[in-house]
Amino acid sequence: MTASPDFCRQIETLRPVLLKYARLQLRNPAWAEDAVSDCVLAALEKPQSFAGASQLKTWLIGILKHKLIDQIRKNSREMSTTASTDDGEDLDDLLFAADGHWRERQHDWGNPEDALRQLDFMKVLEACVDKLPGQQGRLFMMREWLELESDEICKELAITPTNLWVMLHRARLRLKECLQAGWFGAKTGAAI
Amino acid sequence: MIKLKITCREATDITLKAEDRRMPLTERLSLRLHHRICGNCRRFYRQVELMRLASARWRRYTEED
Repeated sequence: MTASPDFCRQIETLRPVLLKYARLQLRNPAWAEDAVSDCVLAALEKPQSFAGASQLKTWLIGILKHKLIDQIRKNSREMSTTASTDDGEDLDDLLFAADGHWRERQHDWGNPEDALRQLDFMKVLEACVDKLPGQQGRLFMMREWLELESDEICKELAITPTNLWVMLHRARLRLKECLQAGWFGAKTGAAI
Repeated sequence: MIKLKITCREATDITLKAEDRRMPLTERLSLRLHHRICGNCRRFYRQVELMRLASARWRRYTEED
């Protein structure tokens, strides 16, 4: 069964979205292009598996996630060897005094639903994830977007659990600072 | 003797690690004790909870039209 021209066009319109998330996950434009191409080819080769029961975007993102894991497997060695060069500054030393206390007051972010129901908050969150340094961003996305378990991530990338926790610790702290600056602090006018 | 008294920096590390692995009992107890006396770490803990919910919501947002 071949895909109809209309089906091809619909997939083509979603290509930029697929590429955006592929880049967010892989942090490498060439690998992202490959993953999206593999995804589109797979979709065009078996249009019958899109039953129309789910939305086209949902179906394509599902395929893309598998192709992204393939790319991660293929390029895992390069990911690990380039990991330490783009790590960014160590936030722990900036956030904590020598005695281990917070340097600054931590802010109450209020009822989660107040932020979560706003589309603008989702956009700020996405921008903050995009700003994470390379390997931190990849690992964060593997955990939170691809929904892989910690031990699966360690296995795929041949890293130790300690290494994974250190990187995710940094990623999550950075994300917290970014959300404080870009949303919660900006909205309440509190000092950042 | 297990160490139950922790600093904010250690409490932060324990809180963040719990996102990616099961929290050991000693850590759970020391965090609980620390939260009794530290508003900053209580608020940080809730920030991390919000980020967890936010990630899940964002994931859905990326999959839907």
